[in-house]
Amino acid sequence: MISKLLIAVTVLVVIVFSLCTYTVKETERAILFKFGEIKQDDIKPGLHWKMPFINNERKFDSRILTLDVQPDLFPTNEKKYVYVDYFVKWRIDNVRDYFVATGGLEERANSRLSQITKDDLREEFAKRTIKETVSGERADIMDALVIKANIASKQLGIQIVDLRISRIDYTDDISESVYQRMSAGRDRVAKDFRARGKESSEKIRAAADRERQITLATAYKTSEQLRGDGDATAANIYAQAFGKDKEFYTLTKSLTAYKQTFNSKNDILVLEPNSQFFRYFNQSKPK
Amino acid sequence: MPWNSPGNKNDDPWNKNSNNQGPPDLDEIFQNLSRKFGGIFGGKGGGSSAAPSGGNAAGIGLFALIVAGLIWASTGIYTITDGEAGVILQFGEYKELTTPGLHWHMPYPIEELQVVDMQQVRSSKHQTTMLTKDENIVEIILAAQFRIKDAPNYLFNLRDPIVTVKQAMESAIREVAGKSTVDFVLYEGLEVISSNTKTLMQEILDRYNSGIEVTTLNLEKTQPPAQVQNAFDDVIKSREDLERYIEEAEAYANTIVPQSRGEAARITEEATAYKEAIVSKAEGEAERFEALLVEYNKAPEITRERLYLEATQAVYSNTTKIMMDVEGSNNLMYLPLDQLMQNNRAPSGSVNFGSPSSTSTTDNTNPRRSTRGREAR
Repeated sequence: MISKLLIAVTVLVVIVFSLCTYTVKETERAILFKFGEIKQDDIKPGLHWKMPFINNERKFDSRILTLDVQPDLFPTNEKKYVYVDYFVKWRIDNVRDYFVATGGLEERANSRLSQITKDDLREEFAKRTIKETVSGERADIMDALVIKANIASKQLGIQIVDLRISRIDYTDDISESVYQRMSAGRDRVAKDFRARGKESSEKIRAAADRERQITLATAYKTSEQLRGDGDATAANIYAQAFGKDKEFYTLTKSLTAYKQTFNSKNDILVLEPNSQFFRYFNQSKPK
Repeated sequence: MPWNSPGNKNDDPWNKNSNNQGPPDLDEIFQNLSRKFGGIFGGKGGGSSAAPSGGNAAGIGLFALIVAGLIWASTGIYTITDGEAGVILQFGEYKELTTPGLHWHMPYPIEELQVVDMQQVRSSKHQTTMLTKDENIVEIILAAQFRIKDAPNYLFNLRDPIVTVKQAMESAIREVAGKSTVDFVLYEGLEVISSNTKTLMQEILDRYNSGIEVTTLNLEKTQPPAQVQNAFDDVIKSREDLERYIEEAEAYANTIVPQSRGEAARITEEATAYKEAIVSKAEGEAERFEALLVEYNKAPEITRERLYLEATQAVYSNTTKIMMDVEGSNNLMYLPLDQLMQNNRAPSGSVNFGSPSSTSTTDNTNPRRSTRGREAR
């Protein structure tokens, strides 16, 4: 009897308890309504009391959520179009405003955020060249957008934690011309390398040629000096020896020269027998 | 929940009412318990089984509650192993972080445990094309390894932490690449880019209090797009060409410079040889002359005559000769010199020629006769 009572009581307690309390998770914030009217907002995680059937609660994810925007074409300063892909990290800042503005529907929040950020981003891109958006000012654009978008999103009870451009891509026809430009740029570099190689090559070859020419010329100089020395010494020796009898030297030298000059059957001599050689040619008497 | 805790049973108003005997004695409870046990295990053999009473029934109920309570409580026992972290939630609210070891938390639905693996290294890989500072397009494959560094942050701050890691990585690499030139991305700055990207990625993740730590970030591949691959390859080739041109030129230099030194040495040696030779020749000839001069001075006339005749003989015996023993050269004479030359080239060395005025052919082995023939005309 008592044990049955105990069980009954326990069950009752559990039922009452579950009807009168609700829990808010660490990742959530809640709003408590009384017949649909907001009684309390921004309810923190933990166990909370409510009046069954009179109160009801709604919980919202309070974590940082991601809005991944579909890539879209944005015009730049130079009237070129680029694909921009970005994402927004946001969280619910004010649950009441959030609920009022969006009815607590995340899709609605996302589409509002998407509108806000896209317009702002378009504006920022239109002010800049592609180069500026790609390199230098990417971070600036993002920081400026976060501040700007937060003003608008405050009405939605949303805080934009971060807005990051994940991609900036050219459209296909621009890509094509970029590829051509890249090829041309590479070609320039390649030509430069080859030309510099040829430059160095020519320098090395010219230096080698110079060295060669100088070496040979120096050798020629030395050799002419040596030959001159030899010629001078020889001339001196001849002069010393032949000077002893000039007339006899002329005789012997002439005779040697004759022998060496006319020494082949191809040399044809047309003779008249009146030289000393032919003294006895036509007569045998002493002259 | 005082009625759920066995230790606070005395405060339970319903329990008190049902017993109506003041604070229940622990001994009595245990007696009841043992009796009940006897009833269960002893079956009908036990004499005490025939003594059902209100107190007994209350005992059974109490006992069941206690057992149920103990079992319920025991579901709160858990262990955290090394490399894990336990996150305790009390009614959904974050309460505490537990370290490795044996623990107990208040059982469900009061408290909940979430175990997070702190050591597991996850990885995220990403392949994409992007723009560089100089408006070139490059392809990059990068991979990041990351782990959880703060379990509560990881669990509570982001709805989709893994997706966020990927987004942070893509955004970071694009921002870093957008500030670098194409050469830097492709060749020179791989390490700088990966470390900058890692830093930026970590910054982004920290901004979200994601509780995630990027341990490594690798640029697995950076390459130009396929459309311009050839042009990029050509640059690499041109670098090689540059080296090659220089090598070739150096090879040329290494060949001709030593060669020219060799040639120079030859030129000098030849000149030295010439000098030695010409001096020796002069000395020899001078000595020969001087020796002859001594003999000449002893008999000048006869020596002169002899030398002259010997030399003339040597000249005449080696050459082709035509004797013209004609006084007064007003006769027109035709000498077929070219024919003579031609005949001389014949191995015999004999010369046939006809005198323009003579019909007879003369043998050149006897020049005298030929002149005779001419004379006779």
